[in-house]
Amino acid sequence: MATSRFKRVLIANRGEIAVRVIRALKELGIQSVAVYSDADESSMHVRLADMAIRLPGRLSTDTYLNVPALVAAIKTSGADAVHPGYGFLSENAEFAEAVAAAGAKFIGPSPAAMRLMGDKIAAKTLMKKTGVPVVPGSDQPLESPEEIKSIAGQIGYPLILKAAAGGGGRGMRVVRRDDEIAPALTACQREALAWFGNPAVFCERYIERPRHIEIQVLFDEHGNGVHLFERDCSIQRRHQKLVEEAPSPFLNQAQRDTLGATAVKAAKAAGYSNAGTIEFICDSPEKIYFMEMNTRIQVEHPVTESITGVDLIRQQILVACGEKLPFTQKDIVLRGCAMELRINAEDPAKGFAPAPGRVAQLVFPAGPNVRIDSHMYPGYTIPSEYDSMVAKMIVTGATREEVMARAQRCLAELQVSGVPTTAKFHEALLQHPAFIKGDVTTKFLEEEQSWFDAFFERNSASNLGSDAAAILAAIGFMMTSDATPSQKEKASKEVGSRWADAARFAALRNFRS
Amino acid sequence: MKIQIQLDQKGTEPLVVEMPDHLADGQPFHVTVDGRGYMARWSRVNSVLSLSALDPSKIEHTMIEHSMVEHSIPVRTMRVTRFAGEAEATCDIECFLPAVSGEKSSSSTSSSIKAAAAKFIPGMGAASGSAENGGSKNKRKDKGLRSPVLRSQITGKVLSISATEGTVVEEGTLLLVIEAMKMENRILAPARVKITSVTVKVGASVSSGDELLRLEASPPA
Repeated sequence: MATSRFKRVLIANRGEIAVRVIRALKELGIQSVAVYSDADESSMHVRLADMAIRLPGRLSTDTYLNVPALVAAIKTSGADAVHPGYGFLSENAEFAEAVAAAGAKFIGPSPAAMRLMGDKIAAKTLMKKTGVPVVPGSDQPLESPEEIKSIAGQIGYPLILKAAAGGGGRGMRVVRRDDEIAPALTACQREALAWFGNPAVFCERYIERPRHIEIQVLFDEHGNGVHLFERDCSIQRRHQKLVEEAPSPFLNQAQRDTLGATAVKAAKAAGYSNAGTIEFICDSPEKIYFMEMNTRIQVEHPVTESITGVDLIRQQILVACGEKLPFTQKDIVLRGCAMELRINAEDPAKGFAPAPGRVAQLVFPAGPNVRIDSHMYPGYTIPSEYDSMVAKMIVTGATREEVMARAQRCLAELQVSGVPTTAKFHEALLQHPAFIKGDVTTKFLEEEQSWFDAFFERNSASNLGSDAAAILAAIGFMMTSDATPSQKEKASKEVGSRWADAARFAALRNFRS
Repeated sequence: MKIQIQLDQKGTEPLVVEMPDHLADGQPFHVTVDGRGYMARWSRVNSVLSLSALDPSKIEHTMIEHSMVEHSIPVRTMRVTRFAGEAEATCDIECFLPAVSGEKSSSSTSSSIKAAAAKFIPGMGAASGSAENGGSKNKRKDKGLRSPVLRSQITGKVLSISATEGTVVEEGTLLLVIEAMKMENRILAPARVKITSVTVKVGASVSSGDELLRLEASPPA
């Protein structure tokens, strides 16, 4: 069996997921090939991979979304498989076909299954046929505001516009009135193009206060499949998940089993293989609709790994090698509780404004049942071209209460100097009474904005600490007086170029071998 | 070295902090805040301030003694922004201040410090508020503009410009949109202002601190 395993896998991605995949490959004794844009030349995945290939340019469209450049990288590196990660081209069937045409295996479902489930419209139609309940909406991609207006006439406002090729919460807009349609459509199409390389947009009824629950499934290429329970991803901001947990405090065991079985049935109907996620949107535990299937690994996969003990990336690779799943449904046991907090380079006190920049100092929390997935290192400069997520903190425990206390403790240990992060937000969230009870919807952050504002206000330096605050500010002032900005910039650039040199050297070394 | 600190908090007066001229990493130093004395140590490599308050009778003290309790103040993040040619720096700090006696563990929630810092010059007015910031929710006492320059707070690309030279716009009016990290960031007018000039062009890449527009305060007619 081991003889048929891949020899060399190219990771068509960047950031923490590239690091995550490289780690799994190393543990399997498979060589890894990183690709990197000019903005990522000193990124962690370049350092960890066995070899690296430069994708010239900084923009996603020129690099991580550039199919010809990636195909050339596959051929140059001699990779026999490609792991797409999440985002970028991970759900792009044309890319999967291009990979196959280049003589490499795409680690994911077949292009046909991707096309079916990745096309949100075709997926809904199939689910309807399979007997899975779906949200009412358009059956066709929409190009003009007039088409959307006519759908609004049939099913009423509010509506949500979604990128047909989308996922991960990107490229969506809610529309509540006729005059909002045109600007929302333009913005949605632009984001869809920027993020997924395809501007097609569809729409459906917008459920005002839903919970977002998703089921992880894993299928081999011999028709065997399991579900690995649910993840509750209701804490979102502008459809972007911030916290995910498993199990969902919303479901009981019977509801959990039913939903899992539905997900397996849905994936089977699609002829699915490899890891995937079926997303559901819930009005109540009894009213759960199919929303979409993500035909890739997801950001929040470590939550499931933590409660089941299954290494999903490892299984993705082995299943793509043609191996059978080493377990059946009855072997998958839910143990304890896990929560993932996304650490984004954003300022929660300023409306989550993105804040790329240099991470001067970095200390991650540690201790029992703590996992950090990140590509950051001290001195790393977070580029402005890509996603703002820079780390995932996953904490596990026997109960939800234990997990929340552990998460709180870990946040206090986290040190990311130089950029604001969502750590501040998570601290507040872990003290919100509704979150503590597990009683939240995807509307939670919007509805509780004033609670969070008040929390941030209250936690600005108290009078008691104002002398300490003044001393710290004075220290900060003196530290900037020490070195002029130009000197500092120079220093960081020097470090950057050494990394780049090392990466290029690594690439060259492998060209020769 | 005397440094004047204006904390971004309602009703606080500027504080004068007297620091040593040089900070040796991890070494104890004597500091006063408006005359209140402290012994402190700043570990730059570990980003932690240790602080003990001195008895008012011995503020001239320069030793950390066995009988003193040092309070540890770990800093999660410290960002200091100072633009070329400007005397004032803006400090954004997240740290864990010591617990008040009787409260639960101090480590649970960070405190945010937002402050303007400048060298103290006797006879000069207070360092006023934080740096200009179109997006800040914190309402300053002085709603006018201290600086005629609107700078980018983020690194990104200018997606669109709604501001027109010579026009007067109300507070909260959309001036321009900057795309960073795949998100659209709407830059709004910080007050009722007149746009005196537009520095950037659509499609331009801007870094944090780059000039976007020039404005002047325009009081309601």
